[in-house]
Amino acid sequence: MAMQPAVLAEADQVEPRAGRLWLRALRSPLTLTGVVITLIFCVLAVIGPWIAPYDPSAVTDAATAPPSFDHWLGTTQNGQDILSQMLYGAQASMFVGLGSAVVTTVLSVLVGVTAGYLGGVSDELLSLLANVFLVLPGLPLTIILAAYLPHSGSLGIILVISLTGWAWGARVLRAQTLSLRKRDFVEAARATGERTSKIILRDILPNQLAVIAASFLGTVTAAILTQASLAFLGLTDVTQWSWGTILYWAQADSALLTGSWWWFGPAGLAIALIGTALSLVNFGIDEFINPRLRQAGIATLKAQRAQVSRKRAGRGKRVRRGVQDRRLRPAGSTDVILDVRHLKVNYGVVTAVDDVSFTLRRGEVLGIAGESGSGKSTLAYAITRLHKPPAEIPQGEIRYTQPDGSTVDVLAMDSDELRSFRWEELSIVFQSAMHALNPVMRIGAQIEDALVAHRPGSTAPERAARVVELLGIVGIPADRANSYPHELSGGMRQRAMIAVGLALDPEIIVMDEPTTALDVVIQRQIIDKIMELKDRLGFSVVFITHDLSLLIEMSDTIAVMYGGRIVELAPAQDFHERPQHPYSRGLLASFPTLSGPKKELTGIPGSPPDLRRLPSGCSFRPRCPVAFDACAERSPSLYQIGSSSAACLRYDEEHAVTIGETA
Amino acid sequence: MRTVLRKLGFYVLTAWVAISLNFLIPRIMPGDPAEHLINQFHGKLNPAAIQALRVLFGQPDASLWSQYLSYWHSILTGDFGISYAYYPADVGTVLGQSMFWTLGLITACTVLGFVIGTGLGILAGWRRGSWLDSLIPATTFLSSIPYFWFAIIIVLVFAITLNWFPLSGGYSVDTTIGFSGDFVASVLYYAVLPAATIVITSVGGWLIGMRNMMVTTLSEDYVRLAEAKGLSRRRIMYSYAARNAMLPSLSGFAMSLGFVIGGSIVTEVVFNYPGLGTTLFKAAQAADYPLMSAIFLLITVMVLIANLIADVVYVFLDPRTREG
Amino acid sequence: MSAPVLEAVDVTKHFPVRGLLKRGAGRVVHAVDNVSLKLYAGRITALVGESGSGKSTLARLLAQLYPVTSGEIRLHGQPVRATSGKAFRDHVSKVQLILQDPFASFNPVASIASTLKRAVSIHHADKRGDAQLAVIDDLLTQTNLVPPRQFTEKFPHELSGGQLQRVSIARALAASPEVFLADEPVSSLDVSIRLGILNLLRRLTEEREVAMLYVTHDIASARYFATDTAVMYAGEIVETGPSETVTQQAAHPYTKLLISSAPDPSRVDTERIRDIGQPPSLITPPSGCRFHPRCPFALDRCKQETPPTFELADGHTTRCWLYADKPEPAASERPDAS
Repeated sequence: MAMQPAVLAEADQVEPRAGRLWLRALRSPLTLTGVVITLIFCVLAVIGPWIAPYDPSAVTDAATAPPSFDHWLGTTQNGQDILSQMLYGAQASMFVGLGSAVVTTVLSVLVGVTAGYLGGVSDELLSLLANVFLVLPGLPLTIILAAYLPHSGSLGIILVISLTGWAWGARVLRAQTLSLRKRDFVEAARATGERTSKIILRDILPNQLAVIAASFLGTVTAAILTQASLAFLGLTDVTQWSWGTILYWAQADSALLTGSWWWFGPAGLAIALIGTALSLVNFGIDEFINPRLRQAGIATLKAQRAQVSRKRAGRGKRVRRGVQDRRLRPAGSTDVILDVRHLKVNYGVVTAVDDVSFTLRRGEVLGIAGESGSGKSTLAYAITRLHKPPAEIPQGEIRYTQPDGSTVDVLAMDSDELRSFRWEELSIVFQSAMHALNPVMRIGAQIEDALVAHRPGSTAPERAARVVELLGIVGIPADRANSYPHELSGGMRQRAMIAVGLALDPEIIVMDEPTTALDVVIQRQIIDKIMELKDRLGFSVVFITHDLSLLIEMSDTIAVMYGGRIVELAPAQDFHERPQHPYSRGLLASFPTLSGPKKELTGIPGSPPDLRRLPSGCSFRPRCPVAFDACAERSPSLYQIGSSSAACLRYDEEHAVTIGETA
Repeated sequence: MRTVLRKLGFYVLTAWVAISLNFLIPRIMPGDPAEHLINQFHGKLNPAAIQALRVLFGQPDASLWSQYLSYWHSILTGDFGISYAYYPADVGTVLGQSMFWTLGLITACTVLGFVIGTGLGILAGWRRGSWLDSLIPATTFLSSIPYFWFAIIIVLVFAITLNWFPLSGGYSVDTTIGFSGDFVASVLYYAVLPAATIVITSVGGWLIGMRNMMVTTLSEDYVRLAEAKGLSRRRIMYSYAARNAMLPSLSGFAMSLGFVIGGSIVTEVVFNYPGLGTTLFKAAQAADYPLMSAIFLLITVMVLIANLIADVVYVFLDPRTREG
Repeated sequence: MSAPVLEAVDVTKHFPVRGLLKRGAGRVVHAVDNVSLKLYAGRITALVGESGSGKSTLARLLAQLYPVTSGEIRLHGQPVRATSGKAFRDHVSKVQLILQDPFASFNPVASIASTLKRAVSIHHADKRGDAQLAVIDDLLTQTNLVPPRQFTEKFPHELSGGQLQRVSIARALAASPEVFLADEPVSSLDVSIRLGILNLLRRLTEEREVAMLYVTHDIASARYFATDTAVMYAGEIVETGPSETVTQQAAHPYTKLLISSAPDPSRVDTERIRDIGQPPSLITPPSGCRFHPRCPFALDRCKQETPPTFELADGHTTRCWLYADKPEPAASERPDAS
């Protein structure tokens, strides 16, 4: 759930067909350029000898002539036409490039997929072999092999390049196969009784196409370069025209000293151009494989700064109104510490959090419950302003009351104010401590750097003492301060996360599914610890989870989210005993209980809504057992019912009457 | 420590494979390289030298196993035979003269290229979406250029046209080899163009790899937490994002050293730099098998040592490899 | 009671620690040790445990996805040892596995139709073309995915988790199996849709008279959904019995700990078993009873001797020395043994 914003943003980009995704990759101008250039070179390689104006080896009187109308790229020392040499050369170079790539890729796929799928000893031996070949310096080995096969033609070169070059692809594919083999769908296919050969052909290979393509294109570039190097060194048949042999003759005939730039220029440029084109195509593939790269253009610093731009722009007005806006209320009038009003968070056109308002009191535990896509994690990030583009907050206020009683709007803070607000006043505990702790830093150091950032005057021994104190508070032995995250168990890591969160005695801790990844027994230990610390240190907690029974047990107040809105807000006990919203009732009737007699479980029909396609009116309407006509027209706001409030039109007086009439 | 020992074992194995390949290649190639070699010397060789060549490149009368044993004996005693291209110098002497040039130039430039590329990559990843992204096509082009061709262009511009730097060689022939200020200055002066070639052409690859790793790392939860902790941007960028993003880049560096060093030595040819690359070129031209195979072994050993160093650094940087 | 359909008899599974030169090479992970379990037709048996308890491994052993290290898997009383080839395909046509994460258990680049076609062509090899499509429609209808054609042309990421889990049940149904092994079938689904899936599984069990193994970490759902419950801890089954008995009169201290740890707002008493420690390493499991380092009632004997199975009443069994006929008198006096 911690990944929800990313998932949402990605979901936006997901296209129905894999095929169309490939087309999308082409939409990037760089990738498209790469594809076009590659195609042009391929065509030239095929038709080159036919369109070449001269015989590339024919000697004429026009020796060492610069480009002219007769010889577009000039001539060599012997008066040979360089354009014709280039066109003939394109065929040889591209043939070696593509040929080597085909042979190499076949070898890589065979070795990589076999090793990855079989595993065990055959895997160990094959990967060892691949690693050995990877470390062996390829070009010198190639040079030696080529030297033993003097004046070998293209086929010999292809063989030599493939023999020395298969290891890289094999290594990558092995790792991929290994991870694919552990994926559930491969296991599911096995469990259906599918044959191994079919699993490899239909489940493993299709999912590796992108990687195979990338390795293929990479090999084309490398092979063209290697062939050129060998030819340049005179280790191939120098009478067969290739870009490398052109350079060989240019070097041999001292083209450099005579300043015949046109002689060696085109061949090198051609190699560089095809190499660039193939790399550009590969970047496209990279972005296709790694969606995070696709978002690189979205999540820029500039975009990040612009996230609350409307808010910050509006700040000028308020400044004119005077200081009172930022220090709204005098001290002591209320124990409300966080007051969220009409908060809205958008991912592009999708509204993930809509018109959410709630208050958090000192020492209170506010539980936010919701299913996937309810907007609960987005809300957590928005409160801390940790939401990433394309998420933005177009509307709302987050008012924080400082210990001295003055009030600030979190959304109006500039980056310095925000930096000191974060952790000092409000800290956050993520779902997966494994991912949220820096894997290469000691636990102690990760606590300490919050102290360094916010207590610049503190001395090292003071900080060390605080680290030990914090670890003690959450029940981690002090010597664990020197451990790295991977050395701790799951429960310990989550405790360490909480210790990081407590470092500066914050007023509020936002906890986003802090125990979801843990087993119940460890979860219980952690929850007990959180409650104990809360009572002792007096901070407030915003606790976000999908686990309603846990929430009822530990919260003072519960907010239930559905389709980006709070649909019910009530004291935990009231909520448990008298849920008001039909969704809350459905949820409570979905949980099996352990103690007491078995109750009847009814569940809720249908599935949680897709935020991109919310139903009109009340978004719970399609699943609601008591929906009526008006529910499709109006989105209900929260109605007060006793100590609870629920966003359901049945509590609207106007409709209460209508229902009464129709019923 | 265990990881390093395991790696060490792996490199010993790789060295064994390289040496065995060196033994096998002449023997499985068509024709009789040993005979061919001996003929090339036109009877200038004494019987002992002929025997040495036979041990290295094939004795038709001995079993493969006994050939292998005597081959190992020659390798371990450092007897690589006599160079044909540099006759009558023996291979050891030729290598002794050229390897330090390569070691100095290539090591310094490869490391420099990696450091500059990675540094720029960190910046480009951190400021993703800014103008730095527009550098990508340019750097891609630079890294696709054949090393040796770029060398030619650089020579044309800076040595021939502008005449700022010398055309070729490793030091001024006016100076005497030794630890004199003049000599060192001339070595540095002569190294500028070859070094620039290697650094410029290798920077692009590291830059792009590092940028992409940076972008990937920046969406990790721990970077978000660092932000939430209110740490300074500099601290987040270095200690959290770059520190983690570097790890795959570094192992990539170790893995591609063989490729990079192989590529760099070809540039030596263009500059006629007195290192292993030029020697290898001359050896290949003259079909000087003893020299070639010895150079291959030497480069392999250099690459293995470099890899081992990279691995040690990696273990130092990534605590997860340190268990046990 | 009739004879079990599928049965694990003293099954042990050790996974070797991989790697030629890695630390711990040559040692094994004791994933499942000496476990016996019976599945009956028309009956749901829950297997409850935390992550790493070996519950999923046991399900895969029953499906013959891994070979057992020792012991026997018996189908209708006949031992099977078939992890590949035709014998394996015969076994899986009778025993089908349903996996936890519906999003991960479908090939992302294949449409629902093509995934189902593969399953159908394995288990209904005689059917082609329209007959095959009719089978697929029927499977989807049985799992309440109607109209079927609305789902067949979709790709996995276009369906919701609940819908995908239904497709995955349909895929398992293609084999017309006698046994379903459902490995946490609802854990990764939203709370509000779990019940629908569980009800579907229950209906299939009853209508088709199949045996169902329901693997879960949620002991409360076992109470509602399964007739019998077995609790696993660190590779061993520590308690079995009718679900209501196991959840209401838990015998083993670990089961008690599990129950008292589970969130339950209806619980009146707040007294809990004091928990000390963490699940043990399965490479070097504790001697004697594997729970003894965490057990507040541990006796001296628990550290040395592995407890046998003690029969309590009505098929309720537990492996705990506290239920031995003659517990060591002195030890019961010190409940907080460290």
